Amino acid sequence: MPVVLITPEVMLHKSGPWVDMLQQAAFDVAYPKNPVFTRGSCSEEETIDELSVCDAVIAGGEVFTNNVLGALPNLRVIARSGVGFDKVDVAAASEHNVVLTITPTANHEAVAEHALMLLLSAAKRLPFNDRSARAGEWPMQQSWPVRGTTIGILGLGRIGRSFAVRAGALGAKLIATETNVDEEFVKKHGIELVDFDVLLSRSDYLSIHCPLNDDTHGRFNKTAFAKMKSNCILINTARGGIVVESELIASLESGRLRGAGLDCFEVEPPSPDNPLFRMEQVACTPHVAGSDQKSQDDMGIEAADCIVKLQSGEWPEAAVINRELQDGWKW
Amino acid sequence: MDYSVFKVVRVNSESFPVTSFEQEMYDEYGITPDCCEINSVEQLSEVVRDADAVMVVSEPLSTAAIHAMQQCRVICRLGAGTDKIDVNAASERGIVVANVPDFCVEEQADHAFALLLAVARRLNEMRICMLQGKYHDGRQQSRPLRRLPGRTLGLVGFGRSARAMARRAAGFGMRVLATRRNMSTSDPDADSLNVKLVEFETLLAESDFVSLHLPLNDQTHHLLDRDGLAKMKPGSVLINTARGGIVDENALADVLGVGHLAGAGLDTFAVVDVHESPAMPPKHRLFEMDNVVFTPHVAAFSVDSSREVGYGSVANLVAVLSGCWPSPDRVVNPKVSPRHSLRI
Repeated sequence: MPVVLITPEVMLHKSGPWVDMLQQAAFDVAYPKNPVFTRGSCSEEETIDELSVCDAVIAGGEVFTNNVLGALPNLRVIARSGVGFDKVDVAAASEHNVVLTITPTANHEAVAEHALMLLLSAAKRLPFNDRSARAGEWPMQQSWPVRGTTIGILGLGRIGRSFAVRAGALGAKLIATETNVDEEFVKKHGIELVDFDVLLSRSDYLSIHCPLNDDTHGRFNKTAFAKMKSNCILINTARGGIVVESELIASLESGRLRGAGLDCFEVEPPSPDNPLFRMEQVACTPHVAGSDQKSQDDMGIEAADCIVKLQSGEWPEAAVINRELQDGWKW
Repeated sequence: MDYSVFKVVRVNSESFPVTSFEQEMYDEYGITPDCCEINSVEQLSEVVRDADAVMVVSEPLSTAAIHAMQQCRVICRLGAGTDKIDVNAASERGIVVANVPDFCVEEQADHAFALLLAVARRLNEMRICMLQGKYHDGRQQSRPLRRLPGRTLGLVGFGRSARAMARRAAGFGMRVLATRRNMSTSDPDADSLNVKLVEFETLLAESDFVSLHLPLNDQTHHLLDRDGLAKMKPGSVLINTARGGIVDENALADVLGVGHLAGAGLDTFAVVDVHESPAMPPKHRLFEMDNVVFTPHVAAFSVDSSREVGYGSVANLVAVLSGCWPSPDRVVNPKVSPRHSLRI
């Protein structure tokens, strides 16, 4: 029987509808020997060893390099649990005839909700206020309103749109940068489309909702920070690599930026000494924005669905990243 | 009109100094308030004795203090709550009590919603892990997170800040219940905001999040007592940006400790007087709990609310000194017979 390796930590040795779906389609389900395999810190050798048993994988954060993909002749499908695929060499996957899918509709609401939590937490200075209240200091300093401010959204994909619906309910003016525009949505929610430099110069709060790729890597660097409205609060629930962390830290220290809400970091896991953790104007969470209870189940179901469909000759168009493989691809 | 003939006493001059907005209004009307910080009951009685008006932020104005006022026409609270003012005693003496009830409606809703999201998505537990360098433990802390769409928010009180909270919750896909004293009439706002008005006990039983939006008075003191907390849905969350005294905080610590409530977001406390600046860690065991997010009674604070409260409270003062009633929604004791009659 073909084998599906399930690597995300939250799904290890857990029953769930995704397991039933795979078993009904006559797959065997297996798990990595190393329980923290999916954190992405294994060598290529160990990665190949863990993956050599399987025909398809429900993948978390493990790294699929060209070398890894070249050494796995049986691998047919990488079904990423989540929407990011920056840990996969897509060209190499296509080269080796491996279909790469994501779970496009499973977690956008979770991420949007988490991003707004970080925004409000930074605006209302919760790390500072909570620490000082527990210490018996009652600083009673002003926080910053959200209503009547301008919230900038970089990227109006599924997550950006979910974020916009919630941000609108807080009474803020919304501006966004997006090339592939859903006109009807933008009109309905009164969003003003602007180019990136205007987004930087006008946003009181700026939330990043674009993928990490060659275009966006390091996009928030000191040049961008210098163009940002003074006292802006930056929210990043997308990917750490979009922000140059050392330059973010400098901008926070100088007061150029008022604060930040961060769920992702340049290097994950970040060093325990990362100065961001000790900054009270920063609300940090450990890359959990996309994984709430419902999205975890939905990601498992959507990923399993991709594998089952591909095996039965269907093509899950909306979830496939390397669509160039469609013609003539067989399990 | 010459307002300089009146003696206006502004207490809390150090704990809550006169803001630029407030000062701008005093200047506008040629008022020079006597600013002071109160250190004893005797001192308070002394400074208010010949005052025509008293401007107050946090200083309690007890029966004795009000009885000491020989010619006071108006007590202006720079804020909304008047739970520290003996309003009945003021009414008996013909003193108008005025407030600015709407000054922080939007701030309070923002703040309450910030606390709700932070507790729901376990900001504190995760942040503490990261501070200790335990990134992966932090990820474990996040499980399971439950998202808001389809979950129920219960608003106790359905005034302006509750309505502002309901608007925010709707954007996050929540079902919203509310309860208030007068349940007999329907409410057009409830209908338009898609808020269902229910009895208090129904609200406690059905809500995943309960948020308090009502003043502290004799009727609401310990409204959420041990019984009330026990009636809340298991695993639910309490948000209090109103007044600490509405909740029995010892009972709250108990239900949080045994896990009946999953968490709380608290901006107000009865066990600590935040205006006293004790500068030492509060002794109450609530303050040792990681599933509570604390803020030091700052929900109302923003630049905008500070402007509104400064302008609004001095406008109340000027109204009474010029022989007029303040705007009706800003009079706390509308049945008072003013010492000097007022026109509308």
